[in-house]
Amino acid sequence: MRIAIYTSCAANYLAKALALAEGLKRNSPGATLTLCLCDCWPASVDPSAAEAFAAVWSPEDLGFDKGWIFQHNVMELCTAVKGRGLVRLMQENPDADLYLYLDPDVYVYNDLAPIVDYMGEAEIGLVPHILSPEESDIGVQLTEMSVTEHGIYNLGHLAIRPGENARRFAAWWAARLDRYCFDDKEAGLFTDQRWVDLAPAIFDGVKVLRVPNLDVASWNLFGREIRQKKAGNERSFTVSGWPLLTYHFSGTGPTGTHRRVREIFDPGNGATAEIERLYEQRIAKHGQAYLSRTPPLWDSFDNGKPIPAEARKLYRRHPDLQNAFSDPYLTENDSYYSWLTQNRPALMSAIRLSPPRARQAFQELFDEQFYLASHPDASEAVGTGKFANALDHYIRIGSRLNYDPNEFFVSTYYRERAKHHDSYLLESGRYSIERTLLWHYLTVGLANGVEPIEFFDSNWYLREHADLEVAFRIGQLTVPLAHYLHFGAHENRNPGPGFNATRYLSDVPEARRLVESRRARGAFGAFVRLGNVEGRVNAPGNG
Amino acid sequence: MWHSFSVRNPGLSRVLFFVSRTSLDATGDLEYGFFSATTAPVRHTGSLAGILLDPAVAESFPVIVTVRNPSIVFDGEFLDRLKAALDSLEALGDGWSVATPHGLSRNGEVVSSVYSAVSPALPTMRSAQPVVDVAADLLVINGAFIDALRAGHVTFADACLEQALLIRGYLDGRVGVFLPGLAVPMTGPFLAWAGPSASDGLDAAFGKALGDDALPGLFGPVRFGKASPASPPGANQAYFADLVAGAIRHHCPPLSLSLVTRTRFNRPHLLNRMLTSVTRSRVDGTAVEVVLSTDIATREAQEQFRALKKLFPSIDLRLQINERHEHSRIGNLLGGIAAATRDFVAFVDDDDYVDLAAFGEIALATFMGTQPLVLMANVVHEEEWSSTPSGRYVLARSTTKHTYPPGGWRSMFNGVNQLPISAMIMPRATLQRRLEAFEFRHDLSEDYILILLLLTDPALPPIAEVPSTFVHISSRVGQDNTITMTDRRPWVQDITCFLADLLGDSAVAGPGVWQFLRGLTEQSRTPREDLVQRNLQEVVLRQRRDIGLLTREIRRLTDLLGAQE
Repeated sequence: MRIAIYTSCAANYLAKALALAEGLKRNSPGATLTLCLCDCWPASVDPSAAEAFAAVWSPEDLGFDKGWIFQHNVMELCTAVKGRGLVRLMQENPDADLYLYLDPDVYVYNDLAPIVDYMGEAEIGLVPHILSPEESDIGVQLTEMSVTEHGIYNLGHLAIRPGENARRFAAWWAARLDRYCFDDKEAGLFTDQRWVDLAPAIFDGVKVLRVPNLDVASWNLFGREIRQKKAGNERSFTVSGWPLLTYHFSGTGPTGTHRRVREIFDPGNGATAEIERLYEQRIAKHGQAYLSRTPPLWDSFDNGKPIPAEARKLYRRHPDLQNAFSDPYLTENDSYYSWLTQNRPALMSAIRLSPPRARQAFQELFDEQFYLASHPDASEAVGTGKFANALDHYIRIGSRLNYDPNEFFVSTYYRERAKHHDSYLLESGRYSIERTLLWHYLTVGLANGVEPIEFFDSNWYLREHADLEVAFRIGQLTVPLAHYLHFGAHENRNPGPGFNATRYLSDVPEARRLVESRRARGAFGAFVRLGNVEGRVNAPGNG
Repeated sequence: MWHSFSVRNPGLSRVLFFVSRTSLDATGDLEYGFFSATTAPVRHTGSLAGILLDPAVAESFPVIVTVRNPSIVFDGEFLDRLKAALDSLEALGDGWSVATPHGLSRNGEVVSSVYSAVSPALPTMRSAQPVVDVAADLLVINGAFIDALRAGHVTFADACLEQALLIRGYLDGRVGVFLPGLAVPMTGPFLAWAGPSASDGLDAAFGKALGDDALPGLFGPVRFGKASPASPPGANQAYFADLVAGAIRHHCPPLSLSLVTRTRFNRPHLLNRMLTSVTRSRVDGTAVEVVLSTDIATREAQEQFRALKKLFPSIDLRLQINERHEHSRIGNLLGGIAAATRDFVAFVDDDDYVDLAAFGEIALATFMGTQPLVLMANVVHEEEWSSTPSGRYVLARSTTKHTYPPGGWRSMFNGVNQLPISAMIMPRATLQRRLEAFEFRHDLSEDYILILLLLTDPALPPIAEVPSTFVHISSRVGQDNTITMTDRRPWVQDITCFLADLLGDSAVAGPGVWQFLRGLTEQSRTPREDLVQRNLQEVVLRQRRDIGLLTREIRRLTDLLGAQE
């Protein structure tokens, strides 16, 4: 039986792709593996390692130009090439009995030939993320809700048998991915995956492969019984009595989400732990520690500067920009880079925080006293012990209710402006700091020039105050807003180019009274309290 | 001014010295013995980096000793110590780059056998240790390593030469090592090398490999490129830590460890989780066994054990049945230790679990065959488990509560146990010898007594304080664990009796030792305050619960009085 397989990744996943090739060679020797490498071949990997693959295709080999590549971040890029990859794989392997797409972080444990039997007469085989309903609330939240959001079928696996339906499907899928393979859940898109939800409805010859031994992954361990018959033999793993064919190690690596999810849903299973351990050893052997740190080639301009997400989206939304700058990676004169620098300076000088710095800034920006005083229901709930403290309330409820974490963070204002910037981060998953608006501001908003209150401009604030710029650069100041909240406003510094503190205080007696009676944080604090910024009203008693 | 020479000593003829002094004339001086044994010195102009790495200037020698600090005193026994130190390096073969008497360990601890009149301190580490930074004052350099650098035309700035050699060594898989036997006296201060020129030099040498980052250093973080003083540790720092660990690993024997787990097999989902963690944490070459020590009925224990062997075929499981009339924690503990067969022994409760990186970290603590008493951190998690209709258990919630750092042993003598029993990884021979010296006549708080017993061992092996986590402790509020039991009287009773045995007539340590240890503890308030701080939340919770119980009791009595009236 001839099985033609392809996978797609950037260099940071190359160790995993090499492990996939190794597993195939060992356990399903009739199969060939083609790599779509959306990156350059890393210097740290011996070029002879490429011999593990039947072929290595770049996006250019599949007919994509740099303007198209630029529109995609690395995850989008690696998935967007899959459509044309399938078409080409079918063209170049006309005699194959089975075509498979496997994610690079899949490992093969046994001969894949039974997949043909599983498909029967079908030509398009889709593998669902889960095969049985969850029984716990955490399972519903973490798994079922995530599946409905990201797509019913996991496109880490796709099985195709030769036939007219398969060809039509491949052409359709490639056409959609050419134009709309983005992580934009508000637009109903999640890379290549959500598209395939349509396949059973619009194509004949589709079969949902509800077999337990394919695409075993941390998100579907619940309900599967994984065992190892013989220690030391990777072919002896079974899943609910079936020989394990493929295991999907999504999230293995620096983030370690695979292990964490496994520890929730299958905490007491030695076989699963052994599978995970052996896989990490294999990818380590292929240089995972170094390769995982390799920045993707197409994620930065040709001067090495990372491409801001908003710059990418801007280019995507405007065909005139695409026409004007056919190679948007260039940074010389008259390039897209220089256009951005001139016309979107905030984007190019965006502030990006490391996670530890963002955590520190979060603490500095969450004003417990303000929060409880501004939201009496929160105060009461904390007082009665329903929530551990104000922060707990904010994380669990407050952020979603647009409760403001400090005086200069207007949640409604921020949410409206940040809604096009990875807002899905706020909407799914368990309650955590990472799901709050304040965290979103620190990790997404700041980097995209979105501020949480009218008139405040972080970049301007730093530029205008040289002492603060130095403090920020050497890490003594976490974020401009934290400085402004705790010091700058009291010192009557201007928050941005549109507000003059001195003039405001001289012109508005109520503001002066508020400042003199220490009921406002300087001139801008009074301005805010008097309801002059969008999203805030003049509070009773302010004058 | 640099002078190079060798010494007329049969065991040290392969050593070339580079000494920075204005003059080597020590006639009539206490260093006369050393300098009278040297060959005629050669004077060099230029920097040490230039002299060492220029193939046209330097000769090839198996070992090079550089002495940059002129206040180092070459006492009459220096050459004997040097010879012994070099002999000990032979265990590393060619896998070392530099050796130092003053460095920074992977744990961030300064390890030193230099006695400086300006900053005097006792040497605390008596075994060889891998280091991540070295002092520039005196350094022993592997000559073959220098030859390889010369052959590759590698150059370093003189301002950062010693650190550069260490880092380059790790990049090449060579370990930098602290040798306690290299002890030297010094009349002046240590040479602090940090500064812009050193940072620039390191950036030029390693910026490409290590990026903009900060590495741990003896005089504060060593920064490369654009890393600012407040830059958080970057990915490259982790990468460097991996490089260091990788180089060290070659010189550590395979880990041989027995985990003793007391269990009654009555919470299988937790025991399975523990065994899963052991399966997951194994690294190649480790010989880890789990001794399940129990006092339930023999037949039931054997059935449970057979089922577990099927579920966990990858790990070496042993069953120890302790036939007793009544359940005994200490009985199961001692029984488990007696059944253990590996070089090290540690304890993991059946509801806790082993950290993913733990075995690798323990193995690294046995560098060059050292058999230390390893102390590691334990992290307490408050957990909530939910069982599903199909009978499976899911970890619905887990919140990290607090950490017991391994340094807690330093303030163990103030009457409060600072470490859980699963913080220790003990050489089995030491443990068994110590157990023979004491009779455990009681049951609860046996962990504290065991730790005190070990720490007062006159033949205590070196203590390796490893800051990473060994065991994650599960605390389940309102569920089946002893941490949250409210009635602590049995614990207080047993600990009192235990301490009476330990401090009374027993011969495990003389009264002077206890006074000494107690005295040390009184000097150091901070750890105790730390502990109080750590436990404050628990104390408050406990008091709230007590208040709640009392309130309920008052209400009940009031109702009773009302009814009587």
